[in-house]
Amino acid sequence: MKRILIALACAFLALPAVAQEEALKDLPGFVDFGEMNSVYGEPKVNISIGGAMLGFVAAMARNSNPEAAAIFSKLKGVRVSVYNIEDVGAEAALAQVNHVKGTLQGLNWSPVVQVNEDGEQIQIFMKFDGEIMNGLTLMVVDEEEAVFINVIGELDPNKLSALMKKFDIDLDDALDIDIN
Amino acid sequence: MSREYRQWVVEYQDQAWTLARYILKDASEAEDATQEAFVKLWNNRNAIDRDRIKPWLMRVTRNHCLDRLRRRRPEQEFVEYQGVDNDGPLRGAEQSELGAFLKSAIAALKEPYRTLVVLRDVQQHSYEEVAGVTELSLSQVKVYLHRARKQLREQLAEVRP
Amino acid sequence: MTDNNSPKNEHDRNHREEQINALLEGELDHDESEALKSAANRDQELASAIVEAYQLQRAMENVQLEKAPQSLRRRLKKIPQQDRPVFFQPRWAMAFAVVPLVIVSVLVLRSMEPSDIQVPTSSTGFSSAEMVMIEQARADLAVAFAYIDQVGVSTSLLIEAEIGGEMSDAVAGSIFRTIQGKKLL
Repeated sequence: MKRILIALACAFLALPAVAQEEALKDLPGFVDFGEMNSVYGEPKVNISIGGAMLGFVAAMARNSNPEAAAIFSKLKGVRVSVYNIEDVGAEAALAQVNHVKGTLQGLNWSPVVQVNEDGEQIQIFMKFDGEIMNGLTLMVVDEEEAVFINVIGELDPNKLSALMKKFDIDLDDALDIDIN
Repeated sequence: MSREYRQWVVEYQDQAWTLARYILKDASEAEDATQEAFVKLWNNRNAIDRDRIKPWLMRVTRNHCLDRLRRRRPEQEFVEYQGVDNDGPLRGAEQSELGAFLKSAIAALKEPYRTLVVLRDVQQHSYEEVAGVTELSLSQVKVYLHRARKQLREQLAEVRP
Repeated sequence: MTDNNSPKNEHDRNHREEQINALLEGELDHDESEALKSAANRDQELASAIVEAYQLQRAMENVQLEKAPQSLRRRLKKIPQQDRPVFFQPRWAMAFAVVPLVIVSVLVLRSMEPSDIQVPTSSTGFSSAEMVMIEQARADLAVAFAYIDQVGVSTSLLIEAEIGGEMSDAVAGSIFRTIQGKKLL
């Protein structure tokens, strides 16, 4: 059974990114960030991972971290787009963020953090279905980059909170990735 | 404010690191000294003239390095001079053997000659900035720089065919 | 007999060095540099010193700035975070979503060590291409959550910079109240 799941996940992952995005669009936590390639060119980071592969990733972690794996297995999609905006300027990205913000507010997404500074903006929204969060959106624009992140799926903050207390991880060293 | 600090980090971290590396040679100590300098920059960010950030930072970096040198045992400096580490500024990213030799020669200079050469000839600071960093007068900077370059020329002449 | 170490000779040597360096730095006017070059034509030692000075200047082009190591770059970026009061560390202010999400992802991604992979290896049926895709997904997720983490940290820094230390408690408090209204914490 597991082998079938893995094969399915790999087949899914082999789909073009556009096809994967299409599969996520019907989910309540999905956010359409619009099109910016025409302004800024191809994004320097463009990640779209669907539920099948996320479930597989969670399954592989089940032995060593069952609580984390259980939470992770509820995710349906992780999407990240990062544009270099230094050459063109932040205006278009800021306008797009404002547009998406208006759309999300109309769709009953809850604004959690809204930070505005000269030429820099951070917007974080959450979508709730009752007590459970089924979507998280982060949009950040500064002088160099415009970052758009959408996490789709069930996130039970009670379980997240309990897990957080159990594992006291130093976030600063958590991910050995230099994204600068 | 933190955005401004991030900009300073991007602009000056390589210069501060290079200077610390040449003075201390040991990479781990150079990291510590550079971090100490940036901590001071963050703590004093409201008091520093924005036009003077670079020389201020380089001066603080140098002072932290010199403090560490003073705390070393006398023989430690000699040993490290002899066993110059070939990572960092002395790594094989240099363009030629000549460059490698020159880097070793610079690292072996005594203070303040070493700092003056790094600041002026490697990092292209102005004479005024160099004077600010080393707390020497302009004329002292020029005289010491002449002497430092003369030492380097003489060493270079010995190895050139 | 000439005393090469006499004050006059020492003075002359220093002056000569000044002139040579001024020539290299472009600080001599046309007449001065011509005078120096003429002197070099008559004085082999001076000519050699000028040539060596130019050689040194060119050799210096091979000596470049060293890029700060990644470990140092990370340490320097974190310096402002050390100032933050404990109650405003990201794990508390952002506890409801961003930080735990990153923690979960870290735990899960770290668990994907080769020895933990329960599936058959490529030698028993899975193609190399499939294993590559699995590894790619892992790498992509690591990048994705690194950005999410950075947003969480950046948000905390900006809020504190805007509001200041005294008020940040109130902000964090208001976020908690909102969350508690939804019975999230």
